[in-house]
Amino acid sequence: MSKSRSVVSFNANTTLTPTKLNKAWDRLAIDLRDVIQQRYTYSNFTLDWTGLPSTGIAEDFIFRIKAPFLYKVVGIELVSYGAANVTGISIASSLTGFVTTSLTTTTGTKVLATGNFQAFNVSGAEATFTLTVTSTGAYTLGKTYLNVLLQCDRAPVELTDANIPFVASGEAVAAAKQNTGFTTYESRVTSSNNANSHNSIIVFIRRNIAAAATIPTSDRDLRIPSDGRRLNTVDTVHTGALTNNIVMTITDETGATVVTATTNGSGAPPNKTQGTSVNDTQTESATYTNPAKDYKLTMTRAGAGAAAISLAYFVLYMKG
Amino acid sequence: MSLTTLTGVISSSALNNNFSDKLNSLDSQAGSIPTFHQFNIETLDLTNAPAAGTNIADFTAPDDLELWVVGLSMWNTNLVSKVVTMTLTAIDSAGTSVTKYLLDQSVTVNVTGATAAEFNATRQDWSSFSGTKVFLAKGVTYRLTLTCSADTVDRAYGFIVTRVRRRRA
Repeated sequence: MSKSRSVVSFNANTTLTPTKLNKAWDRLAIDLRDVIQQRYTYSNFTLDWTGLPSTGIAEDFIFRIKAPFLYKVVGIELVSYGAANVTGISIASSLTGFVTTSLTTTTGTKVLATGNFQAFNVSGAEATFTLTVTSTGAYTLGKTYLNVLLQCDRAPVELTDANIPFVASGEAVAAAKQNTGFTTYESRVTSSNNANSHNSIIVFIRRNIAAAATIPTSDRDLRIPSDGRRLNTVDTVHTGALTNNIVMTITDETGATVVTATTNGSGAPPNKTQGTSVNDTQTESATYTNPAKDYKLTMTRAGAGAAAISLAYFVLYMKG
Repeated sequence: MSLTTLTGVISSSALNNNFSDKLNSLDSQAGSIPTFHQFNIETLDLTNAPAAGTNIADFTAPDDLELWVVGLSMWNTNLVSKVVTMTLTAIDSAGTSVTKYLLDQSVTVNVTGATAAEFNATRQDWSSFSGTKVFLAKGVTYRLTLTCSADTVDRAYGFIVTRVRRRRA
């Protein structure tokens, strides 16, 4: 960050002129407006279809993201290394303004398709991201994923000219007007610094969990550096029956439980069954938690008697 | 420093104080919210000859980013000692590595799995790194690559965390 522009100094025993005072305010206003222009924050998350078989059910092709905050998708990167019998893929979304993006695959070679648009999400609304595969026969998808770039807005209050106590020619410099100007300016600085407007999403995905199988120790954890990022809310989504529970545990790096939001609606954590929407009411957490160092996310389930689950994923909604 | 309430005849010192106070407020708050991005790579059953793309994750930097944390973990239940490496490179549109947008820095991290050890991990805090900082440039595509020295590990998982600082125009 660069330093502020040069300061106008006022000298003792000299006449205070409106020109000089206005110049000082003008420079201060320009500095703040420059900061306000940096109102947008960006984050990204990745959705992965690697290993998806052609025998998969419809829900295996869909990710459901139900963020408790407003965001825009401003770009995507669709990457695929294809697979035998696969000729192409495309990605569509329920988001308003999302442009369906397609690519022609080449087995074993990276093919990239990008999209730049303005697709809007409403806070608490579910957004679906659906992959469509065209093929000439049975397949198991090679490495295939979607990078989604989000934009969030700190929504600062603008500093208007009316907020600046410029002094007109011939007007006396009123102390009260100047005081109001300083106070208003401080409120605008504070509003440009909305700490709760940098949102991000992390998705932890597992596919093809066999019947009666637990999730191997090697495959069930995800470690996420905290670095000041706070946990807002979470979702657990899987394509099995609700009784075929997937359990999410969040601890810190020492194994101590990280207390998650309790206002996640039905389910603890929220669940869904295949073919329906995520059934919780997703709202902002009133309090956020973050460990000193790392989050440790663990996906488990009881193996004995459990049916196969073709897709299970956790979605973490973070702040900061 | 704090605002001086102006009354009556406005003094130069009070004006100087108040303008300075607002500039300080702006300087401190404008850069006080670091925002972080995390990019992950994961390969289940990583071999020393992985199938195309399975050990690679590409992403385009959404902002100008400073490398903040680098982490790599491996789960190894095989009775073979091995080294897993994660490398961060910038790539061109053909997927060829270039160094220009990494400021000629090389970012590589290793984890050595001892025989029969199940879990090994490293976490490097580049935030306190006293050497040359590494920056990722907005709009440039970067690649995380996992390699395994021999045989297979059950899982390799790596990440980088990057930090954005707000900038004045």
